[in-house]
Amino acid sequence: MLKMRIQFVKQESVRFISHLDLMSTISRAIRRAKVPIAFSQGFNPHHLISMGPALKVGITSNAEYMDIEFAEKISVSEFMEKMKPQMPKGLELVKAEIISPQVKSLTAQINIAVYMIRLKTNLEKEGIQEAIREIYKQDKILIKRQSKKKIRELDIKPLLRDLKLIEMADDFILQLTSQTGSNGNLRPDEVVVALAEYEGIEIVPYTWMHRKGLYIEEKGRLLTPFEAAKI
Amino acid sequence: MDKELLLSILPEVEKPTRYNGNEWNSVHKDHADVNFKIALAFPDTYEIGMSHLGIKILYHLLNQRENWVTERVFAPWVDMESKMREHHIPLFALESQLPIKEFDFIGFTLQYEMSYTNILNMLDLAEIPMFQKDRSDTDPIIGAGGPCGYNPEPIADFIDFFYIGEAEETIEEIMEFIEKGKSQGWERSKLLFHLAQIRGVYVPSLYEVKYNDEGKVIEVKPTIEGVPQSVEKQVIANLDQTFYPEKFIVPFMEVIHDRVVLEIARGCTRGCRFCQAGMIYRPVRERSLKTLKEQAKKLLDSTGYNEISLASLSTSDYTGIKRLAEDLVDEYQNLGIGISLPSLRIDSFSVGLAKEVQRVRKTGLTFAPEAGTQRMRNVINKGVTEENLIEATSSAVNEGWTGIKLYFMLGLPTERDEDLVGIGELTKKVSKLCDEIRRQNGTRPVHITVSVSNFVPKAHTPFQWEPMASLEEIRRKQQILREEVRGRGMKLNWHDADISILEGVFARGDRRLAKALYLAWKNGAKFDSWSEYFNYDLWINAFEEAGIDHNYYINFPYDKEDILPWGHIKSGVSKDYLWNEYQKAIKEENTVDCRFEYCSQCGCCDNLNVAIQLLGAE
Repeated sequence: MLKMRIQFVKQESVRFISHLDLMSTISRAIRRAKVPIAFSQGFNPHHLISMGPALKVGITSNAEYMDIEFAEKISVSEFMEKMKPQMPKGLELVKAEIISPQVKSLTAQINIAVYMIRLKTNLEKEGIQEAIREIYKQDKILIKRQSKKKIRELDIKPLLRDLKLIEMADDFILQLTSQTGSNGNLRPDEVVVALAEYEGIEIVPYTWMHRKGLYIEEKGRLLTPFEAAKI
Repeated sequence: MDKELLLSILPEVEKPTRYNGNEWNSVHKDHADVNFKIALAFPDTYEIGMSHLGIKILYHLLNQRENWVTERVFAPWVDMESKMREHHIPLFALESQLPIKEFDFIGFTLQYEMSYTNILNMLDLAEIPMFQKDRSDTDPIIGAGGPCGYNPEPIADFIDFFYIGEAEETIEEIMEFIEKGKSQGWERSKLLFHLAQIRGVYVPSLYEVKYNDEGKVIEVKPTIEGVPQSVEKQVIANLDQTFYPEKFIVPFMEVIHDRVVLEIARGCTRGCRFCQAGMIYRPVRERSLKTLKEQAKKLLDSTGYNEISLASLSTSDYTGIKRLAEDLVDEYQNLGIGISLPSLRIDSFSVGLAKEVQRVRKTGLTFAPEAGTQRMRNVINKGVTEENLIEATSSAVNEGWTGIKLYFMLGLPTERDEDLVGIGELTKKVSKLCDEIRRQNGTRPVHITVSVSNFVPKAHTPFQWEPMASLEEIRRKQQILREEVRGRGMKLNWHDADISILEGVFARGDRRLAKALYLAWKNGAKFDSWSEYFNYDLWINAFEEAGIDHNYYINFPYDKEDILPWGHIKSGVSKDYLWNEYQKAIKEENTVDCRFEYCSQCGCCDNLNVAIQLLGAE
């Protein structure tokens, strides 16, 4: 059995495709490309693709990952050559590497996400930095999170690793490093909500947000999913 | 259009990929490079419109022309509509996101009457004058076609021209003509007059309708010389050699029919007397096995779908169905590609076929006996017996199916309460038998779902002369069914009676309905086929405001000599044949299928100069 880890980007034009629809979109691209993907056993065989952590609908990303299992040997270059013409515009393959079948799944490994968020605000640079400092001063940063049935209050401080301001042209961009995965997940829109507690930061729920990277934190170091597959 | 604005709105609406337009195999052309712009419009949501085969065919057929661009437009869902109105965004085509009012031609497909308010709403959202008479030379030409076009009168005031028949035949000629007229700067009236000369084209504004004191239509005739008295259906003689797309657009979201569709045949001559499709798509023309297998391969390669549906009005009647199904299974099963059969005849052959193609998961099987007693089935010429149904359902249970769906109709001509009781008795008989078999086999309990729709008399069928059951009568009949169809493992579904009444009004209506349609739209009617949006009271108010007795249209029985509001539209099937079938229905006599027996003299082949083609057997 051959296993490949693949990085792809999700651009503006496809940012509204849901995680589930993305899976069938990729599955169809694989069928068109006629690469020798493996099927699951059982009553309703399906492609052996496992995706990384789901991306909230509407967010673009440079760092989406999936692992694919193959029934027959295929080289990375052959895979990329066959797949690239079959990927819909806006979903572009960046990189692929063969990994050991023993490597843990992406969702089991990945625990850190880095996002960029464009802020809509009347504040100057100093004001925003003040707001960020204020947020860090709190013992708890409480937000409301809606689950299927109820709204519960959640302290996001333990999930917030880093938050800094970057100026780009006329825009103020926040760079957020947050925990993700099964042990707690913080979404970028929730950080905007928390910051909006401070006067002058207008909440635009659907402002431009972008996932810049997904990492595996191990012994204080941030590894990319490719690096993490090698250890 | 302001793309930034659109992008800021999309996150706030449900299912934003409905409005994306960048799907795999969608065709994008620079509007600066083309000289004719066509928008194909489906007056319902994206996921319904994208499941419609006709649009797929026309989209790829017309996009073969390099100097034309053909794009799609659907009815935006209510949340999107309110955002568009709030931000003054006119209705746009998906591919270019340019307003459809800038296009040369917009073609609506008419699949069901309850989409009419959506057509009005789409025109309004597009900022195109809703009434045909108010449009200027610079507005797009608005065309329409599809099964409801066989009685175009209720929406005649809103449409520039209707095309009657199969569009592959003449659509390019019509488009070339509009292109020529537009490029030469013809006045709208001149363009429409000349369009009316083309085979299959009906320009309603060039006809006058006269009524008598009772409100009956007594004359429909052209107002200008040179316009034909009647318009005849256009039909393709050789389906096997007719254009079929090698690509389908692959949506980014789940749509109703998300698979490769092979149109294995067109037309059905089983002769069910209530069925409009069975009359207007005659004669039966099959595609050859060779063509179908080639099309399957090309479409699977270009889409990446994992399912092929073998579509026709009656899939198991395709003469080569067994061979086709077997060959496709052999070729594709190992690739995880499944085959589905959407419409099965009631017999063990069909069950065997379903078994052949099924993937391991066993969902339900659907059969349509349509009526509960043999007498009633004779009236509607549904050539199915109780024995057929027993045989089919028992072999289904023996093959391991645990869900069986049965379709029936209520309110059929000559129907008595005992026929409704018959639905209950038949279902109980089937249910008891299924249970015995499954106990013997030691398999899981069988669930039987009974779906009962309300009979609506349709134009161009033998029952077009027949009145429809009233709202109260339908509800009384539904109550009988609720009492009769019950028991363990049985479930009864029925259709909203009030929606059916509206369907009946528009199915047999005339031009005077335009006023009520407009008022209903103005008062907020849209998505009428969605029961959560359908508002019967609103419609009743609209009829009152328009001064129309809507019950007239469903209660009124026509005589053979009466002028029918749709009488100037010719389907090829003769009036004598339809009337004769109507009389036979009352006498409970059957008529044979001309494919397998002898010609039943419907007139279609002679009138349209075509013939039955059973290529599947070759």
